[in-house]
Amino acid sequence: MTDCTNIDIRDVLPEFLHGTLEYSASERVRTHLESCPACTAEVQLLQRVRALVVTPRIDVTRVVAAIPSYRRKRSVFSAAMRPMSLAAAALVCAVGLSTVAVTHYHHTAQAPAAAATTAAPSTGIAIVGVSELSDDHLEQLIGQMDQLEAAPPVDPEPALPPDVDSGV
Amino acid sequence: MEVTIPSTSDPSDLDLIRRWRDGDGRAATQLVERHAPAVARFVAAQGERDEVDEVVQDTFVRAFAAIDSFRGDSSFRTWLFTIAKRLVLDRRRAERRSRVVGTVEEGDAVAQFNALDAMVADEALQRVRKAVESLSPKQREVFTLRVEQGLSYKEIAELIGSTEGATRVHYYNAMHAVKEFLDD
Repeated sequence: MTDCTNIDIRDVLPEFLHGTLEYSASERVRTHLESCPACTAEVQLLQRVRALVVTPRIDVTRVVAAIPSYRRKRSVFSAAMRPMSLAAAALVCAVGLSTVAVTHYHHTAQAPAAAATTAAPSTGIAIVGVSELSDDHLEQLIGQMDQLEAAPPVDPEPALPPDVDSGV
Repeated sequence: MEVTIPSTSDPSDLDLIRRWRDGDGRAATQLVERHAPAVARFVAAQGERDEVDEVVQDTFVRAFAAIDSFRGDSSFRTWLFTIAKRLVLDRRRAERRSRVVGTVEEGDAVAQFNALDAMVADEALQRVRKAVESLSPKQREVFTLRVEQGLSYKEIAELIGSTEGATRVHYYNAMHAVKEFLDD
């Protein structure tokens, strides 16, 4: 028997057999099969090939029990964005590794021209280079940092030796 | 001819994966129930005869452990097949290191068909079995994945590292060869 020339139908016969075609496509194939002995024979052949397959039994409960719990992966980015104390930031600035500082400024006559624009609001935040800050503003920044709580020491404070005279 | 059409109310694989990530353990059960038979058939067709259930279990364990790397470019089932295929090849390499094994990967697929002799009594089915066995390894792999698993050409191409066009050619060549064998 010669093959059917309708490639569109032949191309989806395995899907038709597996029942994965959409309803309209499935009906199209069904209608075609009613008048095409070649495709009907091909479907019967595919059914016989499928009948050769023996599905090994799988214990689903055992498989599911072996599956690990879901653990959301921590991104490197989120780990890097742990809050840093401003004291640590000041340390970085002090050794000259950073050229960017965030400054909080007030609208005053002493506002540096380089850090303000004419349209700036009365209070605002601008990102400027450290070298662009005036002496007054640098002093203001350092004063603010001095008031901040120091970062906890990396190493624990050494235990004090027992009082030898306590008699304990 | 009876056709089973999947219910539109069944959650998709991606929905179930999302639910499992959110802590719904039943979603994992549904995914395993849905895909374990196909993975088992695939593993058996790859020539794994003795420990199909162990390979299937390993496949799902690895899949769920690496679920964040499933991007949805291929179907979940195809992704499972990729993991299963790698596991079977790894086991085969380990076996070869520990003892001499004379067969190659494609040969084991034929052996799997031979194991069905005791079960396939019908003469017509026997002839179909021999026809499939006579195919080249690539044709047999494509043909069985298409017919037994219902994978699309695109999915098969991804699985075997080929192109959609070449996969389609293998399938039709295989179909032609099987028909010629049966007509003789």
